[in-house]
Amino acid sequence: MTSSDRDQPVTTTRSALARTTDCVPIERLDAPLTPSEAGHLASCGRCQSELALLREFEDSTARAGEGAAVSWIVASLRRRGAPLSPSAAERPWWQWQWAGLAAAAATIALVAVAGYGLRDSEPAVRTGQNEPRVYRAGGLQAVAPIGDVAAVPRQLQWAPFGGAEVFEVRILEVDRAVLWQGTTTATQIEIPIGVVAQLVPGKTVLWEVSARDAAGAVVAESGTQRLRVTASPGNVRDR
Amino acid sequence: MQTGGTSDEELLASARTRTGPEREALINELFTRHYERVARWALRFCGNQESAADLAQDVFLKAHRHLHTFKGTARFSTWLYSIVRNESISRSQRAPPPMDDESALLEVASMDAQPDELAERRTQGQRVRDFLAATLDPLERTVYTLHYGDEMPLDAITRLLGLDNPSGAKASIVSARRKIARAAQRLRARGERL
Repeated sequence: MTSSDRDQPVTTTRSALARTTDCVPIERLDAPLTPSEAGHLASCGRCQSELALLREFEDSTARAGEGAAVSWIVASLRRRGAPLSPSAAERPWWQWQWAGLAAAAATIALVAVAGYGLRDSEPAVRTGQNEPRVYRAGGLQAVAPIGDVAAVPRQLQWAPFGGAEVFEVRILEVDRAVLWQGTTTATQIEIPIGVVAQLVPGKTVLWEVSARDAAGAVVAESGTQRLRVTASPGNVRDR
Repeated sequence: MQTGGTSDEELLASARTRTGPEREALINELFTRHYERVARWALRFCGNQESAADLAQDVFLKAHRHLHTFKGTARFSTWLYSIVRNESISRSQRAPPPMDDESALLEVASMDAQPDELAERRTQGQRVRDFLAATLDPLERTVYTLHYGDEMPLDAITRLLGLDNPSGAKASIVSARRKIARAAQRLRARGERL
C-alpha cells in the first residue's frame, strides 16, 4: 500500500470522527437534552468528547500542583488586560474600529488624490513637530515590532538606556490620537488585550517610548514607530 | 458599579445598554470572572505557563472581538468554552504534535468498503462511528476522537481529562488499538467489512 493509498482511507476515517449534522450543538450539551439528542450522545464519540471537555472546563476544581502556574497566568492576563487610558476608554472598542475605518477611508481618499505613485503606499503618518528621528544616535532605540509584521504583536520592546528610571509608552492612531499609554521600568511592555484587538490586518498604528530619569525629566525618545499587521492566513484565525 | 451576584448573561446585557468606560468596566468584569477557568484550561492544554498565557490571551482577544455574536441562547461560559476549544485545537493543528502511531486509523480504514460500493460517504462515516461505538469504551472513544480526530496531543488530553493513571491517555489509545485490531480480525474472519 503506497502512501497515497493509505492517506485516503485514513482521511476518511478521520473525517468520520468529526462533527456531523446529527451531533448535539455544543451550546446545548449542558442543557436538558431531547430524547433524540440523548440517544445520539450515548453512541457518539464526538459528542461524548465535547461533553467531557466542556465539563472539565466548567469544573472549577484546581488540581494539585497547578495553583501557582494558574495564578501566574491570571496575573499575566490582568496585566495585559489593564484598563485603557482615559483617552482611549472614552470610546468603546467597537467604536475604535469605526474610527479606524474612517481614518483608513480618509487616508485612502488622500492617497488617491495624491496620484498613482502613491497607490501602494502606507497611510501618511503625521509625526510630532519636535520628535527625534527614528534610530537617532544616542536616542532610545525601538526594537520591535517595527513596520510590517506577520503576526499580531503582544508586546513592544526597546533597547536599554542608561540613566532611564522609567519608560513611558504610547500607542497611537495614525492621526496621533492616543489608543493607549502605559509606563514600565522594563525595556518591554505587554499590549493590553483591548488594544491588541485593534491591531487588525492592514491597519497602521504608531508607537513611541520616552525614557525619564529619576527626576522625571525626559532623557531620550524613540521617535515614532510605524506598525502594521500584514494580512495573511497565519494571523487571521477567526472562526 | 454593583455587579456582585449578577449572572454573566445579565452582566453582558447590562454592558450592552451602556457606552464608554462604564461598558468597558462591565466587560472587563465579565472576562475577569473567567480568567482562572481559561487559565486552568490553557495550562492543561499547553503544559507550560508561558504558552498557556499566550493561549489564554488569544482566547480573550477572540472573545472580545466576537462578543457581539453571543446571542444569549447558551450560557456565556459555554460560549467561551467553544472559543477556548477551537483556539486550542487550531493552535495544535497549526503546529501538529507528534501523533501516536496512526495504525489505529489504518486498521479501521482497511475495513472500509471500496468507494464504488459506497452509497454515500455519510453512510461510510456512520459505519465507522458505529464500529467505534461498539468496540471502544467511552473513555477510549473520547481519547481516540480527540487524538486522531482533533490531533490533540496525548499529554494535553491526559491533563485536560485529569487522567491520573501512570500512562494517561496513552493507555487508552493502546487499549483502543488492541480492541480495534481484535474486532477487525473477527469481522474479517466472518468475511464482513465495514
